[in-house]
Amino acid sequence: MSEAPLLAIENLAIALPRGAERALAVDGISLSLARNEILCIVGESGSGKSMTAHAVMGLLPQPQVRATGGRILYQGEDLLAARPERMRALRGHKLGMIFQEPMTALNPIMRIEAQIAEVIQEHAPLDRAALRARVTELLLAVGLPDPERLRRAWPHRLSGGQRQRVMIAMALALGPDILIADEPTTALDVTTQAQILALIRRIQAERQMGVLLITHDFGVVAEVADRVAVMQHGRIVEIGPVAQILQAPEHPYTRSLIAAVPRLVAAPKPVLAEAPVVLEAEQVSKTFRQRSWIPGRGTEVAAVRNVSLALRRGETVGIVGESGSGKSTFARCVVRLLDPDGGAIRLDGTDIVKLGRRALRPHRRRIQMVFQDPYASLNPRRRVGDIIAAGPLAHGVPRAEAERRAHELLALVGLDAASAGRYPHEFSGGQRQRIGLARALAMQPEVLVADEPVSALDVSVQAQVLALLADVRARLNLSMLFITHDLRVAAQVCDRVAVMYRGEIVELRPTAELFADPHHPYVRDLLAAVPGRQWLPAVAG
Amino acid sequence: MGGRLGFIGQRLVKAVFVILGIIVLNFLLIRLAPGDPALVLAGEAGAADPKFVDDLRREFGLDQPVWRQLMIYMGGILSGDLGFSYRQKAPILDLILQRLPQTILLTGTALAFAIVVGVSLGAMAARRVGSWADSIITTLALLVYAMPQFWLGLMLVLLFGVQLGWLPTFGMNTINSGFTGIDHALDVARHLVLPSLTLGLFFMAVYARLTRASMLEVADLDFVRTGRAKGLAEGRVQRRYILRNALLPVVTYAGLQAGYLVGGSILIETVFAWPGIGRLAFEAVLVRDYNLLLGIFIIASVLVIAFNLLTDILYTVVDPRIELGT
Amino acid sequence: MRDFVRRFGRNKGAVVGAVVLLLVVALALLAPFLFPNDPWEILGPPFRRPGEMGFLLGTDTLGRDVAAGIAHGARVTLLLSLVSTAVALSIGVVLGAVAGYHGGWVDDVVMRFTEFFQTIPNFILLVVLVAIFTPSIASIVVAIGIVSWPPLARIVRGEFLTLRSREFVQAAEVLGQGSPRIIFGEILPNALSPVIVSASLMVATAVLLESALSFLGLGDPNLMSWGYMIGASRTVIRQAWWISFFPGVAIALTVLALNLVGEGLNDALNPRLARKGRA
Repeated sequence: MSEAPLLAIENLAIALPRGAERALAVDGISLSLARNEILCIVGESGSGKSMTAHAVMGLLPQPQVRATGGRILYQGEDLLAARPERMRALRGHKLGMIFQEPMTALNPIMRIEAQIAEVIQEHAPLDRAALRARVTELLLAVGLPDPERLRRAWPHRLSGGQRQRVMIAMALALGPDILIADEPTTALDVTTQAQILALIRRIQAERQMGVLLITHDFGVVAEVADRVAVMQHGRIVEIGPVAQILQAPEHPYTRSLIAAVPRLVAAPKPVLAEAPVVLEAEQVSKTFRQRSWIPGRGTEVAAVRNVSLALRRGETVGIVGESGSGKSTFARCVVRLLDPDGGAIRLDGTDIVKLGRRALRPHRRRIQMVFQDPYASLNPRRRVGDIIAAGPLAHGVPRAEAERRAHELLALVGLDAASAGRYPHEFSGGQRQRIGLARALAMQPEVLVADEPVSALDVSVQAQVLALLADVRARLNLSMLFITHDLRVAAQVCDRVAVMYRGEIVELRPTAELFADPHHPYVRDLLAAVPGRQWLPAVAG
Repeated sequence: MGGRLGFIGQRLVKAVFVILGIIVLNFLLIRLAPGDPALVLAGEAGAADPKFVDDLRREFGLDQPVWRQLMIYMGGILSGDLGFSYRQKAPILDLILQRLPQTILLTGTALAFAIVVGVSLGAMAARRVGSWADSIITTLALLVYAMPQFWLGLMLVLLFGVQLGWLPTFGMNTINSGFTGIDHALDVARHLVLPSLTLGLFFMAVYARLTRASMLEVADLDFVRTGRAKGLAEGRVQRRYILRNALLPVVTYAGLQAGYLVGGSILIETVFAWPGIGRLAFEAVLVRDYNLLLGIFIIASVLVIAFNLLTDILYTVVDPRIELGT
Repeated sequence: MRDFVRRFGRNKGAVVGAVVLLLVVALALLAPFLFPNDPWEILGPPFRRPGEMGFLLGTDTLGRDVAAGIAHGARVTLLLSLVSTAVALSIGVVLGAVAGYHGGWVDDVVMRFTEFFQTIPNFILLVVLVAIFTPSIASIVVAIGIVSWPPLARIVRGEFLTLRSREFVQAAEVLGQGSPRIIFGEILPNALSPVIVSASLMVATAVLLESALSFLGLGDPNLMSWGYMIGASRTVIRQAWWISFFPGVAIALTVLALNLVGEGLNDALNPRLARKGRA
């Protein structure tokens, strides 16, 4: 078995369209994938990892993006030189691929069975009965329950995890030699992610496939990889067995990346039990109602149910949960972007739920929010200085004073004063989050609600923003409500953690205790699902 | 399945409300029009006959409070009484129903032509974006889109009727021909060509542009990449993944366009002397027979609403997501 | 701004459209100098072919100058179309903004109302409105406005609805900025480009609607307009094609130019969306 490798990429170069920030998306990379192994390509956004995967499949968005050099050898055959018909015959047959967004990856107007059957009929047609049996078998193989019902289902009836399983079933339909998985679990919740990763691992072993898995997440790498290639700016900076890369990385970039991954153990935190309570939520509830013309057809979703918690001065409480757990809804109730249906939210004793819009105004200052999406959270048509000064101005601070404060804050969040005159699109994602933070701090708030403030950022930028948050919090003695889906981040940032599940807090305890000894079964599952939990990144040397 | 029926039921309820709304709107127009409402109802010819005006005043209870008048008006229309055209000496509903089949024939033919040709051209252009075929189709659509329909009709008359002499340009039948059976049908068909082409061309341009834009949008979606990753033939990806999904907004739009189609028939039927309700509307405008005009407005609206309902039902068949409710 | 000009200029059709449009506007502005006589005035014998007796585009059934009619008609058509678009804009933007910003039952009511106007056959409504309120500048402008606003209201509402849930708008709310400040300072500037684009396309539609009305004899009887010229001469098209041909070309060119400019504006204002379809 030591003839040509299953897949060999030699000196691959992929050109970007003119006017892009660099000429080559992928700049002369070489790697090989053997039968029966999982090779992870890991890198931050823009590293060229996804382009590499698409190039193997012949799915680059041509003609704007195309391979300009090198070879991609599949069992010795150069795929870059292959005719389109040949590539088409290989795709879906010998080369299977799954994508990042399962919610949009299936044709919305075709039933599940038709979508799976279609691959088989295209490459190796079967008769009706055999086809049906094969589809059922595939659905079972990817762990989907009740295949008889599922075959007839439309994609929109399935959850994200189920859809990703269908995608895997489709990719596996004809027993490919290579499975390419482009960030297959990034869009999924952590518990679903663990299941899908286990599924990929199992199927790979059963069928002795070569798997090329693209990811940005070192946790995922630790969970599934046999070998790892680290990409930066279109080049492979380091490649080797997983143990070597994770435990003894050689390249400085790899080391800095790994150092930036937050560890799952809670850092020791000072006890704040004596500090006064600034914010207290009591039995807060929020139900969304979808009304309908026809009586009885409306739907109700109880997004937040009787949530109570207290936040002390200088304390950070994390709210952790998967999508749909109600954590974001609760955060929006606390800042009164949403009106809770019931309960009280007391800010230094004043219940802000009872206040009308006008009466609420003066209290707005005291509780501010940092948002998730660095691209959507700043008005693209206003200068950064105006964005930061807008809040104080609205509360009657004189313009000169507001602008002076804006400049101070830019310095505080690590941006130079000239930034004030520029527009948001001139900044990177991490810088925009800094601006968003400055905007919130301009109000001199007592409480900061941070809604997934780092989840849209690359891991190295994430580390910088988290460090900034910690610094600001300590300097200004802020209290913070920190919403996140990422348990690693929660472990690093929070003094106490509340885990939400289906609208309720199921466990709320000091971070270290909760991570060491979770009581609630859901919290246990959640912790067990964190990818790479066995692996603790070494402290950067 | 229940969701689908619920959806259709919801649309039915909506349609009923729209029809009631149109009746109220009509009533308001009569009340708000300058001058005596009775004279509006009578039309220019009827207004000269004091007895007729008096009868109208009594019939519509114009001496009673406004809300009573509305009730009387609504009751009358809902029971199928659209009033009487003094000028034409006939009940308005009869006048309209006589002309309705011709209009349905004309608009139906035009719509079918517009959808079939427009969607095909749009799909052809989208598949070869940037090619000369795309440029020709896009330019053609843009040109047709800019021409006033009535003028385009006149130009076609000039070209095919006068210069080339290929096709009849006037009416629906050859007068005094005595054609029967298949000859009659062929004769009508020949008369139908130019008006339906004129009316259809504009909508063809609309559908071509819409299909092209919609297909280009769908072509960028994730699931199309999935189709390619499955190694499907390009033709299959184009048809089953791109075109079929791209047609969903086209269906919706076809419903919305129905109103424009019926509106356009006023112009086209006037140009070609086609004996439908559009031509009737033009005649009503000429002699200021407002009540007849309002009757046509109601019937045309009902027609459009019915067509909308039809596209809604079609939509539930082509888009499985509809059961979620919109 | 420079970016905008560059992107607009990249679309050749849009530049051609802008030039044609400028020519039409110039013709409208210069009409009283180019053709100082009243366009209704009989200047020569009827049915002169284009070029005969110094009549560039010939004379009509009564001996009026077709070229003069087109020049003066440009004033009428452009003016009526612009004003009626302004009417439609003010209805559509206000209703759309209110519905999109408030959401909830306000949105429901406004959107039902909009759907109602979108369902009824709008050209017939237009004819009914103008006929009943008797043709005049005011009735024509208002009626075209009334039948044209619904698509715009839907666009504005959609923009407001998405922008309202955008994080920067929520941030403004958390900062305690007032509603007017949020609507005019945060949302509206970001919703403006689709409004500008559809406004330019609405002017084109208004030109067509106004011409169709005049063609049916529902134009203001005191104003010379392109549609009227075609309508008045359609019965003699076999003898005198030019009387209806040239005004139609004028309409088609103007509408085409407006559509091209609209597409160019779309490319220039929404660069991301416009990328598609070209490339």
